[in-house]
Amino acid sequence: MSALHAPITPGSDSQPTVLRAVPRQSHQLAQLPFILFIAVLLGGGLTGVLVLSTTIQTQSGELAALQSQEAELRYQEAALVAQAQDLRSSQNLADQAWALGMRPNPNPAFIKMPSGEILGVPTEVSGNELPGMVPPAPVSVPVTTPAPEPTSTTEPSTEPTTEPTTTAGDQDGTEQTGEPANSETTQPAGEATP
Amino acid sequence: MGKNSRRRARPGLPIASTNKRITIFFVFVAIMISLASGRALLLQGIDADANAQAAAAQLSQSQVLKADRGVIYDRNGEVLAETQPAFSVIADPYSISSNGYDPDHMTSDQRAKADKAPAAIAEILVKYLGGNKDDYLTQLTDTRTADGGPNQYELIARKVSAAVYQQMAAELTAGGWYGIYSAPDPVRYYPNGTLASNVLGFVNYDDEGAAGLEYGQNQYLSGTDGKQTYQSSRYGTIPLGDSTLIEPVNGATYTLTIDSELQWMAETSLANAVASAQAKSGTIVVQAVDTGEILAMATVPTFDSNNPGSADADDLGNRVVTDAYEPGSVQKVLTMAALLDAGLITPDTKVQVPEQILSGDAPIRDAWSHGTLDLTARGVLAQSSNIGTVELARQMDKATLSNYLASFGLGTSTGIELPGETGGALGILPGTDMADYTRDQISFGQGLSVTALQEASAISAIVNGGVYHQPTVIASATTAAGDAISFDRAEPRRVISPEASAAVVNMMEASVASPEMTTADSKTIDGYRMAGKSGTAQKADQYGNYNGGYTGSYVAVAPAEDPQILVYVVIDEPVNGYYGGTVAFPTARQMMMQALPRYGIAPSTDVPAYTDPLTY
Repeated sequence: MSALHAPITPGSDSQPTVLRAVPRQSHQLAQLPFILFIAVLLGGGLTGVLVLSTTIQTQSGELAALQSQEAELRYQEAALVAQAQDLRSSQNLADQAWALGMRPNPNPAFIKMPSGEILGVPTEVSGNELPGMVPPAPVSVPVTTPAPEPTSTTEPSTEPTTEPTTTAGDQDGTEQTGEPANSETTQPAGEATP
Repeated sequence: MGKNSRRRARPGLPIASTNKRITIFFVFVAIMISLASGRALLLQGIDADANAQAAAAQLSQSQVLKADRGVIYDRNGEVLAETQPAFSVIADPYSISSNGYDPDHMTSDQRAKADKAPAAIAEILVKYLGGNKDDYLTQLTDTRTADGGPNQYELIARKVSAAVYQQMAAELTAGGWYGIYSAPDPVRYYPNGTLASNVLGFVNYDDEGAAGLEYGQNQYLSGTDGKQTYQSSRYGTIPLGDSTLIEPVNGATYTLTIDSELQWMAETSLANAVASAQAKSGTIVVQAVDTGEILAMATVPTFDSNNPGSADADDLGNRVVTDAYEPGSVQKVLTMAALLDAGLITPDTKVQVPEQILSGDAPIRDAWSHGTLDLTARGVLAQSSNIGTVELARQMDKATLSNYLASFGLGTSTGIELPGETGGALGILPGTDMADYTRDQISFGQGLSVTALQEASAISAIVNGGVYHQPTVIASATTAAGDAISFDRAEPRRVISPEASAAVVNMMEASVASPEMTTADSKTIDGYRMAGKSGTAQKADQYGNYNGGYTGSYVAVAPAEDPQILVYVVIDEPVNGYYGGTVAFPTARQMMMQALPRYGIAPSTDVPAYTDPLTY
């Protein structure tokens, strides 16, 4: 309630008013907690910033280390994938299959499902049905990517056996193209002569 | 008194009074603030942009992020071409000379170590990169550039596998050697080496397609490089500094119609055929007739896509697409197809074949001497009579014949997605106003030129019920974002009637299966019905005379009751034998024997004896 609205009490004028200085309040006690508060605030803030920046720096270091590790592993993976692709390439598989004595079988047999009917005559191969398929002498493929040797010690021990020529020669005798030597003399197949 | 006099003396000092001290202090502060403000004004107000840019430039680093070139797969998902991480190895000879220490403040130990650095680094380079230690030493000790400045860039090696570089870098670090660094330099790798190299082509040292599909599809295969910008100080990357990253967009992934295993078979058998015939070169095409897809396409001699530099420059292309030649008697299939479709003949049309026939002012003979023969049109094709073919072809006007051959795709680009189908590689098809003797000649495969791909695709159309499919090597291609790349392909078109198509196949089967045939190429495949045609063309020399050697060829299609696969073999300039039936037929037949079961084409349920007449 405002003093303006306070009822005027008669007789109060008769009392002489004594003006006194308002007692000085002591700030000594109030300042200390304030300074402490500010100091703690500042200290806490600085510590926070320090911790934060240290953490970020550490994490940045960790990130760099992990990125470098990731790159390292990625390179190793790429090298291993290339090695696997080398080994599973059609050329390598065919050479190795030939070296193991495997020969193409041009006499297919099909089983029709569900009737079980067999189409074709299953026939064992003798090995020289397709004399044109003798792999040529293997040429070591010069690869610009040097054979990677990842740090792993479990290096695949399956060195490609690149020795099909000797086997090929043994298996296949002398024939190379599968036509009788005299075929030329026995046939007059279409020559176009002007 | 003494005290008083000292006290009196002090007010004489200029800063003795507190007021003066305060004044001086404020003046000093004011001066400092003015200086700082002036400097701030200079930096922020007057040269603000230039300063900000200079500061940012000093901090920011950028590096190109290389896009990976697209992978190429065969139809079964086998990798034919891919990009492997690799590096250029670069040396900083100036830093190597002090092994990275400040040359002005080195201890004696550091100096001793720096003196050993070039030799030690060279040894490690030899261990991982091969080569000669002295060559490396020359580079590593070349510490000054031509203008006398410090030499900090010497390219030691390119395309070094990432894994190898990594091990080398580890050894250098372990040894405490400084001054070797790297730059990304990805390498294109072809796991199959020579396989399908004529189709794939190769890339140059800058990873741009230089031949084959790599060249033709370079714009999609190459991708778009990205860029990384970041801020760094001498202590490394600034963690919260400005950084931008534009991711690289890798190249498109391609899946081909090529079957790498069939391709291997084709290359092997072709190489053996060329070696056996002591021929100059050879080509082979295996095509799915009902789609036009190329299953295998090879040439001999060939090259290794990983190392094209070691091959003869003439062997770096794709002869199937770029080499035009006179096809010889295989062309008779196209002539017969036109005549049958036009209704001018049937397989049983009777043709009296004389000993020779005059064309222009020169006689045309057959490859073997004979008197007058009574052949059916079927017999003319099976026995490959030039005279009989000319007699039949003369029933058709020249313009119609030329138009038929053009509709079969001769003389124009097939539209295959491989480079090189231009100029002379389109072959020569005489126009509608050709001379009479030219019509006679082209009917049996001389006087015009074709590529193996044109001829194979034409015959595929003829045996495929008469519908031509544009040949293709690309099954599909997708960008890194997963969008399919579309190719501009001609719609399949009918070139002859189904009846004419069946009649041609019947006539071609005669040469393989008719008991009246006794040639080397009258040899069927057990369980299947095969049809075929041989070709032996004399090559014209540089003066146009037919004494430039031979081209022996053979086209085989099977199964005859519903042709699915076509094999076309061309042997160029054979020395040991030259008939197509001798030098090319064995390869075509053996390829067919392997291709049919490979694609699940079951043996014919009934292989009847061939009884249609070749003579009358």
